[in-house]
Amino acid sequence: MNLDIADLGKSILGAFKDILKDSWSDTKEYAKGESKKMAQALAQITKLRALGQISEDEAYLLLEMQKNSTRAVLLTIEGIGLITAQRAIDAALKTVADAVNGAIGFTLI
Amino acid sequence: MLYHIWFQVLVMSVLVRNLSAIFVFVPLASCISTISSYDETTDASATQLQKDIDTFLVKMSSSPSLRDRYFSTNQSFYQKAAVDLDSLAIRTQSIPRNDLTVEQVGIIKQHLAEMALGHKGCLKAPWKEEQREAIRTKGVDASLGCRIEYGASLEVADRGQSAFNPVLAPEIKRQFDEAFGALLKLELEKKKLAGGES
Repeated sequence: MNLDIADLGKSILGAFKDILKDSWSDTKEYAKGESKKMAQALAQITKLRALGQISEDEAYLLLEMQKNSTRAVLLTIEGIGLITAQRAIDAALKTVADAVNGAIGFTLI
Repeated sequence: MLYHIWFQVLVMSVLVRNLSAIFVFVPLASCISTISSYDETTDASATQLQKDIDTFLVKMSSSPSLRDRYFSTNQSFYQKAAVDLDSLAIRTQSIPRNDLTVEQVGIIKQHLAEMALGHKGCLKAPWKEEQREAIRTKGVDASLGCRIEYGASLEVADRGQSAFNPVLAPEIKRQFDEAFGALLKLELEKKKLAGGES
């Protein structure tokens, strides 16, 4: 099953906006770029798993790395603390958990 | 004599008052700048490390030989990258108000530690929180085995002949590029702030 990257990106961006609302005017552009990258990465992991090119363990490894890469990007924005960043990531993933887990066939998120 | 003692007390009280002023002034002054200044060594070291890791991952994605993708064949890459990253971590930690960059170097160290464990097939999904903590605190396990104390899901003596999955290489490269890109962007912003190149 193919995931709609644009839909995933919108969901992730919405979650970022909720969490980063206080600094939204400063962080909007970063959040837009990052939500797009995150959506593309999730779609790619799902695709590779569906094709049998990576194992469940490898899919999980890529997801963990993606979460940390997103944290690195959020840390470039001064004033966004680590806790806020972690909240944003968790909330963003939660919004797409059902769609991604359903598509990949196991509980990835 | 009495005058002499009185004079010493006066001098001491002036000194104490001035020292208080200095102690009050120093923390206030250090609060004015909220972020560290640009560090050329951090910039150059991170750029070189990104190049080394990218080169390794391009090799892993394009090498048709299984032996070339064995962990044991590439052990020296992990050893060198771990040392280089430790040096970068020490450098960034020594700079005041550099918490964000220190955290970003920590994330890159995690990436390398996870890639090494993944290369050896030491990670089984889902990970436990203790594993994440071990990966964060212990860093890269460049040994040939899987060690639980380094975040592995299982204890195995020798996984040297575990081969890198070439399909994973471009995806992992993307993750490293994103983390290094974030760190270098922050350095660039610090450079702009200092009135350097725009």
